[in-house]
Amino acid sequence: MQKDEEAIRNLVNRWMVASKNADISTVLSLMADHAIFMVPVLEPFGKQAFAANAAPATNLKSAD
Amino acid sequence: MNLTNATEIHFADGSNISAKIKSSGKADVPKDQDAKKSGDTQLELELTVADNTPPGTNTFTVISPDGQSPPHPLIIIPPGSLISEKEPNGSFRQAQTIPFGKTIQGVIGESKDVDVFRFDGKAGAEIVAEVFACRYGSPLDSILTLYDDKAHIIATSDDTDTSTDPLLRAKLPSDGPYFLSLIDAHDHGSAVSVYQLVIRAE
Repeated sequence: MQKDEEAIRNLVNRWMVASKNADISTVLSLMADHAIFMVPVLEPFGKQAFAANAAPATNLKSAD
Repeated sequence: MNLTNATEIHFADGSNISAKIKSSGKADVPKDQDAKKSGDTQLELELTVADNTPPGTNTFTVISPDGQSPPHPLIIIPPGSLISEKEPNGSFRQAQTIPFGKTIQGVIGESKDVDVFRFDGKAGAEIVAEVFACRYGSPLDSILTLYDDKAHIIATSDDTDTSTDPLLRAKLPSDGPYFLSLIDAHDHGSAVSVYQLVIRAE
């Protein structure tokens, strides 16, 4: 159980650190292939569109 | 505020709630918490809530010879809407199944605690998962993450513009089970690191 909890915390931490550092390849590796982003103002979009539009300065925290 | 000197609990005018102070005294300061922030005194109250009190947020203040506290929320939840978090739920295998539209009352009870919840979703459904913790005075600074059945991340939420409580919106990509994990951003946890989690379909 503690190993499972540690694995989940590590997964979330990897995502958060990668997002802050605009490490797009790590974010994409952790993201579900069929994820759909809900961003204010924009129509929902998927992982491919996210990857295509990701710029080095992208901060994924705003894509929650 | 030193609660051991409290003399009265005051609810807003028109409220159907009253409170009587049963006891007061010192409180243990949870590990990793600053006594100045979390407090080190406590009150035991007996609340009287009228039958016709509507669900929602009520505010109260504590009166003492030192003055009046800032307003604090008291949340009234409809009967049958509240579900208690149940341990062990620290893994995808042991995730606690939750229905839509209910309020889960939980606690990140110790350092590095992880709570995982499972729900069944439909393709195209738009869901909102929201944590109420710091807004209610909890020291918890939570991160909420949504996963598919292969533990791949669909969405995550840390803070919003107005609070450290996460608000996660997602459109579900397929029919099937989904998982939500809730952790403290600083790996803290204590008996007072409480939260309410609401998941609803939009």
